[in-house]
Amino acid sequence: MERFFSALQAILNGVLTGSLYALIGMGMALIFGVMRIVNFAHGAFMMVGMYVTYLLFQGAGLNPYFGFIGSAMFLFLLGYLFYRGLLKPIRGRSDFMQILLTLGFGLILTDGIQLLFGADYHQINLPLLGKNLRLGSQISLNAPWLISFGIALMLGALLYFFVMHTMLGRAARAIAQNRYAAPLMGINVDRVQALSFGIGVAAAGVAGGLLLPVFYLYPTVGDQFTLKAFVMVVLGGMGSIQGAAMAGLVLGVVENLTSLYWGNEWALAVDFVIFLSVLSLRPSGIFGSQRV
Amino acid sequence: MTAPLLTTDGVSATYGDFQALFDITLQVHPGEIVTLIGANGAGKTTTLRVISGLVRPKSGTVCFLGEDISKIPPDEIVERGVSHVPEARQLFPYMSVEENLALGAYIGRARPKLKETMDEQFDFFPRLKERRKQLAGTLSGGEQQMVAIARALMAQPKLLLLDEPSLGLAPKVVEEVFEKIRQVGNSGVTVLLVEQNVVDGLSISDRGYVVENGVITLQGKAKELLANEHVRAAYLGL
Ligand SMILES: Nc1ncnc2c1ncn2[C@@H]1O[C@H](COP(=O)(O)OP(=O)(O)OP(=O)(O)O)[C@@H](O)[C@H]1O
Ligand SMILES: [Mg+2]
Repeated sequence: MERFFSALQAILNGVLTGSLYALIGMGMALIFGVMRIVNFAHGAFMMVGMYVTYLLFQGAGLNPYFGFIGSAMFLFLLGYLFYRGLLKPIRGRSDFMQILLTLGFGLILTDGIQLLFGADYHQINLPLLGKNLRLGSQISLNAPWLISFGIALMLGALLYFFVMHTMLGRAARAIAQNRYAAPLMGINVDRVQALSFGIGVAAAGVAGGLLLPVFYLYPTVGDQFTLKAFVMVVLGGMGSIQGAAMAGLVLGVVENLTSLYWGNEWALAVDFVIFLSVLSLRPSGIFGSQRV
Repeated sequence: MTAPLLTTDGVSATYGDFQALFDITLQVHPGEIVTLIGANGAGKTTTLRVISGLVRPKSGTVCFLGEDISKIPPDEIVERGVSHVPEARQLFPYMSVEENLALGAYIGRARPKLKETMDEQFDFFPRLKERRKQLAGTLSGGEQQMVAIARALMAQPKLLLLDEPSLGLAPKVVEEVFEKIRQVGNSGVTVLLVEQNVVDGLSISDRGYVVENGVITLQGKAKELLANEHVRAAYLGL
């Protein structure tokens, strides 16, 4: 019985963590679907989102559960401008150039933050932090994680609705499915790609804001999330945002179970193993079709 | 004669070092159906792509409604009233018929009337109405061509560019497609058609041009072209 409850606890924790992964992965999948590039700066954008939320909290006393909105707006703008100013001019050049650019921009963000705020670890203090929701005598869910989960769920659903049911979302999917035909519909491909990049990066920024209450903050905190987001995109079927969301939840659960049975240090290794197995055995992904 | 709706004047176009079009000059008048015929690689598709802004002319101008559109991006050209049904249909394969049509009405001018125009298209292509929820990629070739045409008409164009709509279709379906194109023409939409199916193409057309190796070598009334010695020998195998 003891073992059952510890496993159940790990699974529930995994779903909570996974909801934030899902948001990060959906953002990356949107970008990948519409632009066919892997955004290697994704985790760095998320990290910037954490810092924005942190500064809003420290500077203006804004609770992170509202501050993430500021983070989303800032990152949307940053992503939009990054696309317009840097990525767009090299669109059409080799994939390698585009990979280098996102990778390099991620490093600049990380180093820039380190220069501005130092490499120290930060953590914020909310009265909420120690609170738990107890379910029976064996299971307890951490309050800030629960709130983050609820918000992530809502925003994930909103993003899904946006992509599937609005004209702009439809245009983004049109570009993903047939890049050649999209302009013939009157779609301004550059504009939609810039907006998609901004929205994808804003999703990472939201996740960063929601992670702030439960995570240490330091300049390289985003690095592991770039890898995770990439794993989710591959697992989810290369550009399917609902696939990436599912993959995020699965990743959260698998990591938590791995930590429970094998120890924390194995969690990232397991991500890698999943990633490589899917890539070699089922490159079209598990949870989605090829396209957005 | 009325002022032409579309004029290309001395258009040349290149892909890298390769020159695909030389001095293409043609006119399409309001209400006409005009067909471009020519062998594989003659430059028919390139001509349409220059008109819709996908390829920039190296020299020459493209005038639509009296204004030079050769430097305007493709999405604005659609807004001005030119819709292009590309070779091989180019649908959005993982979207339903309905969503493909909705994207046809993406431009600001057409979007507010999306519901009505979609109903119109479903009246015009009843088969598509039955298949409105089906993914476009799973339709038959003929149905896909109908979707491609309906999608272009959703933008309520003044000029419709059609690139080999009969390609790869069974004879009975080809007949059906040409009948639809004729009706589109009758409804007041001007049509510039590219066809290798010379007889069917010209028989629904008012006029035609023959393109060979990137040059217009012959032009005239559709009936005259069908009777022309060179056309009969080169394109009809007679
Ligand atoms: N993207 C491209 N890059 C390089 N050359 C091209 C490209 N597209 C077309 N061409 C060349 O330009 C010439 C004209 O091509 P185009 O597609 O316009 O011919 P077409 O008349 O439409 O032929 P088809 O009947 O086979 O469709 C051909 O020689 C073709 O090889
Ligand atoms: Mg062609």
